[in-house]
Amino acid sequence: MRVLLTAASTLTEAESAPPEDANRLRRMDRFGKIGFLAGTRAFAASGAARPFGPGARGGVVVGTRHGCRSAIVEHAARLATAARVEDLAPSVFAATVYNSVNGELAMALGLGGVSETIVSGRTAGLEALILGARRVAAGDADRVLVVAAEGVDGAMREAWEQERSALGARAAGVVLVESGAAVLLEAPEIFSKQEERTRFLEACLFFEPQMRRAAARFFEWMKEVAARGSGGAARKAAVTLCTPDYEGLFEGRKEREDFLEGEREEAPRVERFGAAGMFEIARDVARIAQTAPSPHSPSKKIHLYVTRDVTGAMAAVALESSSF
Amino acid sequence: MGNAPRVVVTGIGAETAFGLGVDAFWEGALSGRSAIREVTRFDTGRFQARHAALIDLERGPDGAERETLFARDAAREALVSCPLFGGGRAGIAVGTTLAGNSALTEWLSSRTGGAEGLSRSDPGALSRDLAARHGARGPVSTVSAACASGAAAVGLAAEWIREGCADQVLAGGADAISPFVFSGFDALRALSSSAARPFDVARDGLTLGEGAGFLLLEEEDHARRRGAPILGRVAGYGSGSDAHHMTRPDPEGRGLIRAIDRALLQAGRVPSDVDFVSAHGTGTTFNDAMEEAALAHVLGARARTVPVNGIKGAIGHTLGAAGALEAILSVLVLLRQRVPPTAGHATSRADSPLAVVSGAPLSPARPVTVALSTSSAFGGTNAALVLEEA
Repeated sequence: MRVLLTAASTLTEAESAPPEDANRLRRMDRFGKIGFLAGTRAFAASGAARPFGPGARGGVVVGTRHGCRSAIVEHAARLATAARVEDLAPSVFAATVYNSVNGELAMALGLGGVSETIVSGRTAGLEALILGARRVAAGDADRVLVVAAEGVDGAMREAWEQERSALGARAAGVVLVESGAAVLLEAPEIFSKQEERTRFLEACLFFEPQMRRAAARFFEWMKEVAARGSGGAARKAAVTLCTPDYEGLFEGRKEREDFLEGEREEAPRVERFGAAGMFEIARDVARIAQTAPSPHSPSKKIHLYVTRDVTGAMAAVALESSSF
Repeated sequence: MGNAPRVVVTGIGAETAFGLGVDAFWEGALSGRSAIREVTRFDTGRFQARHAALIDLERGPDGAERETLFARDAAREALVSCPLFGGGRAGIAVGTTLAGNSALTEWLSSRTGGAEGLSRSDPGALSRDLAARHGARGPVSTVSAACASGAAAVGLAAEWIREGCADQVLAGGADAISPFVFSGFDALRALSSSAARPFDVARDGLTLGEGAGFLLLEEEDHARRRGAPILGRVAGYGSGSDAHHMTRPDPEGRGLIRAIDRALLQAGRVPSDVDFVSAHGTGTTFNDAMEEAALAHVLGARARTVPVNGIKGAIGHTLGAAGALEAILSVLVLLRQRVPPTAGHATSRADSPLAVVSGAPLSPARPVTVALSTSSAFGGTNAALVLEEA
């Protein structure tokens, strides 16, 4: 699979927008804003220009757990007090679809190709990345903007407090953070302005509610990735569990250290819902992209990013990055 | 497609306003009747529209939402031919537009429910519920591309199988109608004053419906080894964006054209191979005009002879279930070589480029071996599926 991650951006709150997007942002809810801004910034970071019309070879894939929840809450509140349908706001209802970010980005950036939205809980962001990579690898698109976003409003925070208390002691102190992340995937054929920095290697996606079995399946896949990678130059590897570890997923398991050299990151103490995984990847891709190329040959490093939803879903992505 | 595994359909299940089961769906469709009625399940006094195609089913004893119950019913029927479904090579792909909205609305009014408050309103719960019930331990995902969700789920499932991620995937969509949804479409002035009339010269809007449709997709060799009935094939899927407007379709249908082109390419087909179209056909002025333009562009002069059905005149617009139910309808047309009439359609506009089947079922002169199913959605998302005979 030859798919490059060429530009990225992350946001933890919907910041100010460029004037050209101000009107567009006004009609979006929190999810829409942070997803849109993350997407347009990653696109801009790639150096790509906004086209005048929709192109068939560029697409958008979005991942989120709760997506347009703010717009849903607003429409529900209006409905609760509406005496007649005229009291409702059509534009608010129009924003209660989970693919609203797809539509706004497609219009703003002329991405008239594939458009897909994944809403699979905490694994949604990585699932979106996997799907976007599949679209590029299959030749359905030359360029796919993958976005993962969660908007957080007061009602969401209130609900999160209830969910967190039910998740047990491991959830104590975990903070919910509004998050947006975007990565631009491109086919190698259209990417020629600089050397490859990060490429998509492979992924795994499965559903296993039993935590020990889930960990075993992940480590089995991890061994396969490590074995496949060992045929080339020496590679260091890292594993990042991008969702808070509510279950003790990797506790007592030595596989992470046994099979992969290098970094071992602790699970985050922040909850990003469906933006988890993509947030960490976008952060790393942006950092690597900003590193000045070295005259020396870069070493290649495999990095595994993992997300786990306590209901049973698990998604993992293996990326290979140049390390100077 | 090269040597990629072929994806076959080995089970189908449906729950619509015609009743529970594929037979009820097919017989209702063939009859030309409409299941659209005046809404009595909730008060429509505040709204301008009064009609929908609803299912008489209340929330489950375990508190499951109605869309979850529809999904369970349709999934159970789709799995009749496969009692051993499950395990690490079995997946679930579900499309939904608004699953979880009722739970969220309820939570907002009471602010109680503990962890359930958030998890029950999580649309991803729909696929996980089916995975838990049927023991699927392969890829499990929920997609939500508004009214293209069901088709997108079927497309995603087929790709998992082609790529070797799964041998079997239960794929489909489900949605339920609530005052929340009804009020929103009414506020957008999208609802018909009576009942949807897809592609009719006097169409005045869509009518909402609810239900679920599921297909059991399977890698062909896997299906043959277990002696499963092969009902049809999912040969191609395509997605395309209008990049035009959030709620109004591109008048030229460019996003839908791109989706159809991609689906045909993946299927290794050309437009002249298409024998039947299960159209999105909402019955709104703009959608149907867009779809006429797109199909005329893709099919050329043949558009006037390829039979078209718009099932939303019969069962309403079932949102996230629509693409899956229309894929099931396509499989049934391929199997039974009869095209149901489009309920609500009497007269096309004089210059309509489409051959909308109307009044009575059609037994096509040219055998139906390749069917095209189209879906278009808010956000400008379009999806197309190419289905073939077994």
